[in-house]
Amino acid sequence: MSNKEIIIKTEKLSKSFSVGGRQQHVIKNLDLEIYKGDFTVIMGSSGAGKSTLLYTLSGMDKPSLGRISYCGEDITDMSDDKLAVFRRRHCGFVFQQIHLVDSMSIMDNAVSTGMLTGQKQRELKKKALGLFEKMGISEELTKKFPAQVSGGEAQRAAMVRAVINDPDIVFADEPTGALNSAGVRAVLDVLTDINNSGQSVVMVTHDVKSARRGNRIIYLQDGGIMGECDLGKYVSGDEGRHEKIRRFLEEMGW
Amino acid sequence: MVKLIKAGFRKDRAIMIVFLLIIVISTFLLHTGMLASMYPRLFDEYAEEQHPADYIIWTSADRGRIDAELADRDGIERYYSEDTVNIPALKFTTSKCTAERSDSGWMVQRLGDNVGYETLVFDKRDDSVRGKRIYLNAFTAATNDLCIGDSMSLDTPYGRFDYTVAGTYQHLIMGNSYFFVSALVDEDSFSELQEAAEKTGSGNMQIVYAFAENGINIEETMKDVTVDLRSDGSTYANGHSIELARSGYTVVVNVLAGFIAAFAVIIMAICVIMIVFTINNNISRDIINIGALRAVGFTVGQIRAALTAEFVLLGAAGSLVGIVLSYSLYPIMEEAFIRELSGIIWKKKFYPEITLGMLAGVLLMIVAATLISTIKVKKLHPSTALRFGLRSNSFKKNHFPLSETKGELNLLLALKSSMQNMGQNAVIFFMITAVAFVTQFSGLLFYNTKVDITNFQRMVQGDAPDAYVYLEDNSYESACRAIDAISEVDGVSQAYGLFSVEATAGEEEITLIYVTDPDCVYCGVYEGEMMRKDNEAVVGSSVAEKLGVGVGDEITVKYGDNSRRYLITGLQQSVMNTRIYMTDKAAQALGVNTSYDLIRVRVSDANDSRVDEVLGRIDGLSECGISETKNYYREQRSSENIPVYAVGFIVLIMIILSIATVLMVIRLLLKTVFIKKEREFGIKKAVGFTSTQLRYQLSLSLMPTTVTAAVLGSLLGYFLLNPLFTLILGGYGVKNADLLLQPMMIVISAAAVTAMVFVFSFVMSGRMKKLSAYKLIQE
Amino acid sequence: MNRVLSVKDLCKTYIVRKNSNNVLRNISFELGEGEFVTVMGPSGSGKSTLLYTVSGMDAMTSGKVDFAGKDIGSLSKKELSKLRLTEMGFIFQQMYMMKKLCIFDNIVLPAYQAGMAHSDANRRAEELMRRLGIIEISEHEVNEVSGGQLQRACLCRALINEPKVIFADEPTGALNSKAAADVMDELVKANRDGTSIMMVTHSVRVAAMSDKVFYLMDGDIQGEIELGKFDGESGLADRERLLRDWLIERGW
Repeated sequence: MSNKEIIIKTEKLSKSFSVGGRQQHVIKNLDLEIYKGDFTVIMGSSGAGKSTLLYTLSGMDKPSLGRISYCGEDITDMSDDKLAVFRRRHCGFVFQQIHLVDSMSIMDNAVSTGMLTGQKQRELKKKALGLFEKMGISEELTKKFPAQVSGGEAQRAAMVRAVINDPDIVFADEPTGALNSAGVRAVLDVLTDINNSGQSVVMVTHDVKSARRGNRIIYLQDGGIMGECDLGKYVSGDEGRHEKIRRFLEEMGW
Repeated sequence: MVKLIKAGFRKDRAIMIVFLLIIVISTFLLHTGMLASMYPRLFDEYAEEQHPADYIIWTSADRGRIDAELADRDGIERYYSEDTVNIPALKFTTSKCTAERSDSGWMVQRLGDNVGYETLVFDKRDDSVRGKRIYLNAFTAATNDLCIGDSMSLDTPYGRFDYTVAGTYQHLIMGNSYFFVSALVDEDSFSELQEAAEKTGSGNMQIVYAFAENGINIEETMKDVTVDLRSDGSTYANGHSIELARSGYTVVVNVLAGFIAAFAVIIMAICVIMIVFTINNNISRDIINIGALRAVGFTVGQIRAALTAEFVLLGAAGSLVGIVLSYSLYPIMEEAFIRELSGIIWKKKFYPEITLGMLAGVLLMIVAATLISTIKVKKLHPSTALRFGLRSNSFKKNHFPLSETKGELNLLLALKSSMQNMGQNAVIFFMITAVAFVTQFSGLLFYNTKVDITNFQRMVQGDAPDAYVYLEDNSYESACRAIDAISEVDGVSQAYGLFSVEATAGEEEITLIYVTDPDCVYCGVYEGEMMRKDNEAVVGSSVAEKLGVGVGDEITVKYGDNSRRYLITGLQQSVMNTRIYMTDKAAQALGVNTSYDLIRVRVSDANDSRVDEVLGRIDGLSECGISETKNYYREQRSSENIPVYAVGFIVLIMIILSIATVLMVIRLLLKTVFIKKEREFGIKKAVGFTSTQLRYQLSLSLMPTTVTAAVLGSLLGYFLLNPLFTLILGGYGVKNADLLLQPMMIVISAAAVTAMVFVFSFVMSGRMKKLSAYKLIQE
Repeated sequence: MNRVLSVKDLCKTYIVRKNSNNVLRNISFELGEGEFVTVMGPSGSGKSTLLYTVSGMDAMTSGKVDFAGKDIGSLSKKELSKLRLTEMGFIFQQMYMMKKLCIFDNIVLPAYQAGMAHSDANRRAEELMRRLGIIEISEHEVNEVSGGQLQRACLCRALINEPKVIFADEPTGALNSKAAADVMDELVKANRDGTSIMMVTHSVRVAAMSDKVFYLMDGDIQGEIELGKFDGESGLADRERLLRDWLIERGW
């Protein structure tokens, strides 16, 4: 589709679950290329396999069949521990349910993740504080536990965790699902910022407002790609963008 | 209805299985212990059936004197005086065992004579066997594995006699290793035995069986009779009441029952803690389900029932299994070794008070535990459950903030984790302390019953040398010469003589034990010290209690016509005996004709072969009149030494069961800890922690609590071992248990428990490797 | 119109580590028979708390709540449970269903519990599932169905005991627009059949399907707007626009 560098490539990717004794084929024979620097949005009707795809792409789950390679390196057969190391170096995650570790302060959630890549504690603290400030989280707030802050604040804290290791690619699974409109806006702005500084973003969402931020929308149906839409880089206030997405989704039968 | 809700709650099959097993083990142990405590009642039941005499006296006096003594005594309804042949020491071989065995204290009577009962009940009998017939009491038969048809060849001081076993019977007075043992032979054989005994000039005696009038206690009267019979200085007379006999049959088994019950109680306590812990965890895990059900309209009562139904059902089922096992296995254990301990034949029947009582007790306890652990469900508003869960740690302190604390990442995270849930830490602490306690206790007991039984054996049986040296000439001079010679032999650390006569102190009949050298004798002095001078004595606790004397008081001892006062320097623990120890010179001053027919020898650094070695050298001594030697070291530790061996065996079983429980509890504890952490692991895995890192973090996080608890539990076990034993056995005369303590064991036990926890937790968390980060989060 | 829910001066205060938080301040409103009411407001304004308090799932600090003539504050826990079981229905954003039971069992559970004969309960469940178009997932496990299907199953469960009121907390929060539309469709139909609905949402489109919207901010009802009955088909876009303007006026 373009001359951009490929960051993730899948070949005949398949993922099945055995649920209640039956095999459910969630992703079927998927060939996909994610490009470096893109803000890729994955949409589709519920049950289409969006989240599953995300987790498989990021190495959090193993494919049943097919291959995944990252910047040319095949990660399909990597051992559990090697995948963990891969994730810490290259990936950042934002989940719908936020999933911060309840028993640690917000600051510690970020710092522990940073320490994984060998960053020194003192520098980490400075870096984290800087990131938190960018997300609009005060130093006071970072000392609190995840359960003590609002949903929006927690999700933004999760974003800091996601980028503390300067990952090449940030995976976001319905990051705005649990938030109100103010929270949604804040989170999307952060993702856009991240993308603008050169990191790739792959986001799963069912919210059209969120989808607007992407430059490429992939529509998933029945475990395969039904269609794609190229939007070009996001510029705020562009009304035409919204319409383009609407029409694309209607075409897809959303 | 409850079934449906239950199906929705997550269950952990492994935990329920462990719980079931622990219930089965503890109910089995407790029930068995309670069965073993039934012997006093069994004794009474047999007594009801057989009407034994109230008092029995063995004497060398003749019928005439006996009649004269008993003529005008009040309270005696009737009495029998029967012929008996006393065989003080004998050896025998049987058709079941060709190796020669020795025994002592047989009282053989004529079949058909009154043997102390109105109704002698034979357990088995077949008069048609060939050869001279002998009928054995149940204890002797059980100990030597003899049944009808087996042949016995007795080597007695009166000659050799061969018999065929024709029957067994329960004797309630002369039927265990603490007193004489009874045997019956047919009329002709008995006459033969009597004549042979007559030729040697000793052995023929009378047994007097006295029955009291209704409600009257003839103990005092009969004691007087005994004393009077002895008053001429040459007549032997000794006796005791049926009550004393009863305690002889029941004491050791009661001790056993005490042990077993103690273990059972500890295990059951662990069980209860487990219930509370598991249910608590289940509530936390399923809190959202609980909230949803409450929202929809289910009542607190129903939810509590659903959470706990399993435990109550499994508890009931497990208890039943434990009880059935107990009833099934008890007869086997009883025939195998318990009968040897008690001498009483077990009655195979249902004991409702024990069984139903225990069942009710256990169920009550489980229900109480479940009720307590679900109290918090009552206070839970449906909204709170749904939105916040039971997470109270959100308001705790953030320990060891990573940005401030220096250290390695995994170690820091482990430390943070260990401070996280104080409630859980408390439970882990208690469980591990209990586990370490049991481990230490078991370890020390194992040491004392299998590795070095010296003190254990002493506690149960009293003074025990390493070897006996029998003398041909039992005169005092001969003995002293032999002692001097033996003491010079290389390897001998002590050689001494110890013997006894019957005497009285105050109104009490006592066994006067005289010794050549008090320093050589171990008799369990728990207060004061051994006598040194010839006007001093050490008194048994029961005697001291009866006479109301203690260390520093004087006691008057009477022998024949002589009486002397002695200063009490110490009290010794005596399980069922009434003893006074003094030097042989002190006894001579009382007119006792001291003599020793054997010398007791102790070997330095004793072990089986060394003792044999030394005995070999002793054998080589000439002019000492040594007739034979016996390696008592070996015999003590063999299965021949019934009380010690049997108790040791049972202790071994309990140790094994305890360790099994310990292992299961640790595994269970860890499982419940893990389940709570799965989501957190999933998140950390997603973020890039490797499984190995997470596993180390988990195992390390348990260490602070575990190490503290393991050390505490081991220390408790170490220091409480003897006090506990004194407590359990206090009622049986043990004033000061003195089991061997090995300080190293504290370290070993604490280290073992800690290592087990670490290893188990690391291995069990291996499950995390198999689950992808995604799956863990979803859990 | 009869009042099925009457709330007077409802206050709810949380005390967290000696700081008291007034989440609800003197709330008064009424829900009539057959009415469909929505509560909207910025996050943290207490919308969900209002729902939980009014339905008896959480205790109020002060005030009076009358549900179908019964004073909620005077009922014992047991009576409240019974009330929730037989007169109320709940659907939540997170669709709390018992994971180990199949869809059918989840739906009939409240009916069995309320004492309905099993055959009657089964029949009713089947009927509801057919009506809401999910009969084919009857035997499925909870994690085998899509979000929209699951939420419709929750609605069946909420309807099985023919409640007077359904309380819905962000029913479409986790759904895409098609699934959301399906669920709201059914909710509106249930309302037309006579069930009153009290809903919390932050989706203007969804709120526009209700009769009346309250705006809750800082624990206070700061306004209400009557939208009139939604016929399920036409005029949704207009209603949405009207509502959005009204909300923005109020600082949303």
